[in-house]
Amino acid sequence: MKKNVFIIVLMFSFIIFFQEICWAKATKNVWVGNASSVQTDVKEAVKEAAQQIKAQLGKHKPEYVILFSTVGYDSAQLLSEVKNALGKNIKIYGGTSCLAVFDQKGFFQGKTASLSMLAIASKKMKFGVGGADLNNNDPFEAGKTAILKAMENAGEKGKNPDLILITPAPGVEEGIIEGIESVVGQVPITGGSSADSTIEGKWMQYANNEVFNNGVVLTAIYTKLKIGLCFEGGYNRTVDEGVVTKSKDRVIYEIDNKPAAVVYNEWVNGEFNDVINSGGNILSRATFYPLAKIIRGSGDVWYTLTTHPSSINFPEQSLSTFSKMEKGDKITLMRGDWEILLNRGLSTPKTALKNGGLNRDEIAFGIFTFCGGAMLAIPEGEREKLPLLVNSVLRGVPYIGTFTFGEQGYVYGIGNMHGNLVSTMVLFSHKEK
Amino acid sequence: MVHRSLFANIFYPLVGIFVGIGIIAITFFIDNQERLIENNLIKTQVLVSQLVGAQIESSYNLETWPFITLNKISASDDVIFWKIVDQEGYVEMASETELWGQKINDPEVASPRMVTKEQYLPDIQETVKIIIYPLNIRVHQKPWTFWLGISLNSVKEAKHALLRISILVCAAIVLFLVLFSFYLSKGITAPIKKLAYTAEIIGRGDLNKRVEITAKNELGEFAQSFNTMAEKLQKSMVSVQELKAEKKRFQDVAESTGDWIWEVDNKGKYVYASPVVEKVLGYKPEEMRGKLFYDFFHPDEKENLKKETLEFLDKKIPFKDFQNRNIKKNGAVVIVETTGVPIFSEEGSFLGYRGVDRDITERKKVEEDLKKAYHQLKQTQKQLIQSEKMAGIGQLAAGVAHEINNPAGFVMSNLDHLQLNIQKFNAIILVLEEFIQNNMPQDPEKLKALQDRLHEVKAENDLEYFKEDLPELVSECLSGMNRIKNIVSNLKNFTHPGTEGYVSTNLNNNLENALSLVFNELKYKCEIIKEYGELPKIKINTQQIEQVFINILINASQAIEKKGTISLKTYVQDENICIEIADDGKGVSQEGIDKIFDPFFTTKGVGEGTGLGLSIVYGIIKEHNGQIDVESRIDKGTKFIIKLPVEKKET
Repeated sequence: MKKNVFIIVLMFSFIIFFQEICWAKATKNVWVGNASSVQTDVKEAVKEAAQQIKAQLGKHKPEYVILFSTVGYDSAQLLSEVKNALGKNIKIYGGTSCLAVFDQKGFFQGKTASLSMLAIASKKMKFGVGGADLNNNDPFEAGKTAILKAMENAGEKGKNPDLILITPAPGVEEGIIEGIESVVGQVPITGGSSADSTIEGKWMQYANNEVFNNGVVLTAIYTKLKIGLCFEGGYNRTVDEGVVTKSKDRVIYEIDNKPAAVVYNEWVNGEFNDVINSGGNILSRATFYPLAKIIRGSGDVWYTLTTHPSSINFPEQSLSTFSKMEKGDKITLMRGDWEILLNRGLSTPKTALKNGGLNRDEIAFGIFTFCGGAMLAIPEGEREKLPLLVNSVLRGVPYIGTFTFGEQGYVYGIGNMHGNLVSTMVLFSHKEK
Repeated sequence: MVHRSLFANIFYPLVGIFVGIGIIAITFFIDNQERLIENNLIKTQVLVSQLVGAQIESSYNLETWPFITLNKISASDDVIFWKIVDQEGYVEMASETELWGQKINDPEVASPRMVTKEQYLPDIQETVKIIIYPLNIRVHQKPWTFWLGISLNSVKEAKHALLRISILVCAAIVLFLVLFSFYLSKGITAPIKKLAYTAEIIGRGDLNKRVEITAKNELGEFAQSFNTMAEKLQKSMVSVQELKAEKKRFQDVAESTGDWIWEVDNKGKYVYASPVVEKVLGYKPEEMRGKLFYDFFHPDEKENLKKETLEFLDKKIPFKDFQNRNIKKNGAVVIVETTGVPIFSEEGSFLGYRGVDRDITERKKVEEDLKKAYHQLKQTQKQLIQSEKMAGIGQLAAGVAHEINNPAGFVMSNLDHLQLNIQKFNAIILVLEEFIQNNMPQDPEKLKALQDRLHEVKAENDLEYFKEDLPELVSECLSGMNRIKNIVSNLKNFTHPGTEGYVSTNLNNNLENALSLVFNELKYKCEIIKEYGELPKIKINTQQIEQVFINILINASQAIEKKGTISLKTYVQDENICIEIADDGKGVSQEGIDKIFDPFFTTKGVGEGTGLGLSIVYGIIKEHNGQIDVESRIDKGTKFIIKLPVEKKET
């Protein structure tokens, strides 16, 4: 009797195990190839990465590739080489990254440039890439134009995508988001503003054959697969809070009816005494003392959307930031250190997994966007740990990462937002919703 | 045998000991310190692991990693690696990013308790200590672990640094000790070398050499002692040389002298005999050794001498001039005079006797001859004295005759007168006889006639005067005769050698007797001044002593040419009876005084003196153990001072 029970249990275990294997095979809906290169020559770099990608994809022909590079390459040639390597019809989405790019294999910082590509082949996913020039359009229109192009490019004109990837030029992200949302509504948008390594405005945005230096590129993704999103600042909230009483666009003039810079300087214990009465750049130093807009989410959930003070303006002692502040916004001082920033490598994918209800084993790929300013605040030797931390969570799942000058993301219960010093991640599951 | 210096014997072993101790001390110290450092390192790193573990646990709960803390761990020189390993062995995070996500196979994965182990890491070719600290992060009840790989290089470096320092310190100490050893060795050996050098020089004979060491320590004291010893040695050498000389002298004396020097033990056995013994007894010195001294005594005397000599041994007293007869090897008799003293060890134990035997056989013979000669001489002396006496008699004769004549004269005169008066008495006696024959006549007439006749005869013969003078006459005669008798007696005594020997007498009387004999010689030109003291009686040969006085008195008389004074003085001084006889005559020159007691010396004219008078005086006084001195000045006088001891005075 016992023997029979044991045999039956063993058989059931075998069947379940076999089914799992079959399911795993059966549920792999996305084929991903990704690689990075630090080759100086763009052709070689692309070739190196593409060879690996092809090898990973095997027989699967990529339909879409995400391309992040530093500003060291000739952008047009870069796109051309990518098409040459992965197929002329391949859809290219991406932009420039600050200093380096990264993936699950590590942190890639070339002598002159580096690139990282993640190519996807899936019948469960449709991709449409579109871009718009901000030089000729206002942000709203640019956003609107870009999403429309992307939807059209995906062959899903008129149909809202399930997710929008965004790579804008820094500066007017809020307007772009508004423009996108004006087309697709509250479709989650995630991504980050393109960046350069020297904050000289050399950033580029890639959209198929187009290269923008001040534009916005989007990918409209249509899929039934499960998606996990994260958009987090990770700083510690302090008790220093106030209400913006006067502002215009990204400049805070007053907090609690006091010069914003003075209030801010008081909150940071006089850290900027040297420039409070003269004005000046505080971008780097303010990395560990960002401000955050306190936003109420669904129910009693409060969210802090960090913004990066960039300079103190004299004589009005106002405070310029990298995100739009409006009168009445409740703001607070956040504090952090490079450890907190680095730990986003853990917390961001974990949160993405959690937010998407995803299991690590089902993840097909991911896209990680990390604030370039935050990255620069991490000690040079520690930066390499960032992709590894992500990998420690994802366990080898392919993902591509870029360092941006402004991040955009979707917060459940709040909607799409633009923030600074933030990291975002989107994870795609093999499983459908 | 290899000769090694004292310095080498002290210095090198000391250096070896110090170096050995240094090496052992370093080894022990380093080994001990290494273990101590390693233990401290492990303890520290365990504490670090605990603290980091706590930090990791805290961070984990916030879904972060404590990078800053871990970076500080990584920055530690002692940390080779660190790993955060999950319950299945996957490296969640590590100091080496290549390890992230790798699975490790180690039995200590998910160890519930802290483990410390050593592991060799081929890539760094080093054995490291690994602390595996269980974290309070549990999945399926299995803990994550924090692995801390600790390099022991710091321990090794510390060990090496310690070794270097220790070697340096030890080297310095060893150097110091070597220098100290050198100094010590030199400090010991240099003075010893000096001492040896000095000793060598002293050994060569330069006893004036001294060690010049001023160190105020045992060596200094040693050197001082050495110098003192050298000085003593020098003195001893002098003494030895003196002793050698003395010995040589002794040997020379012992061999050249006729005396046989010997030494016997406390049993009387000879232990030494000088070579002279062969001459004395006929035995060689070596033959004498072991023989008893009394074995050589003459058989006739052996028992007595043995008894007597053994008493010496018993009493351990010195003896001198002990005469004994011995039998020589050839059987001849030898007479020796033995003098010996007991010898004692430093501890005072009796060792025997040491002494000298002198062969006095010849001397005894000579002595016998001398005795005979002496006897003859004495006889001759007596004869000479007698001759002198007789010569003196010549001088005395006139005086004596005169002395005798005087009493004889008045005795004769008195006798003549007595004879005359006796005739008168005879007339009376005849009357008386007639009276008696008449039977006392009753007839008054007759009676009256007879009485008248008697009165007549008495008147005729002045009988009354005679009756008064008769006793005086007889008395004078008797006195005169006694005087003659005395003179004759004195003369007889003087002229005949006394045989009566020593008699107890008062020298004042003897001086008076002498004076009486020569008084006639003196009375006409000398005034005799007497100053007699009270003298004790002494035993003397009165005749000889009186002869001394007479000789001196006569000489005094003869020294006074015309009229002078002779002073006689007696007194007691320093147990001596002193008799001074002084004259104020012509005196004697110093030359004469020097020879005054020599025989046959005389200042008198030829035929006036024999020159033996004072010589005899000297001999008599000497025979009486006395002393005679003379003081004289020309034309002032001469004084003889005779001193006779009072030992023989009668008590």
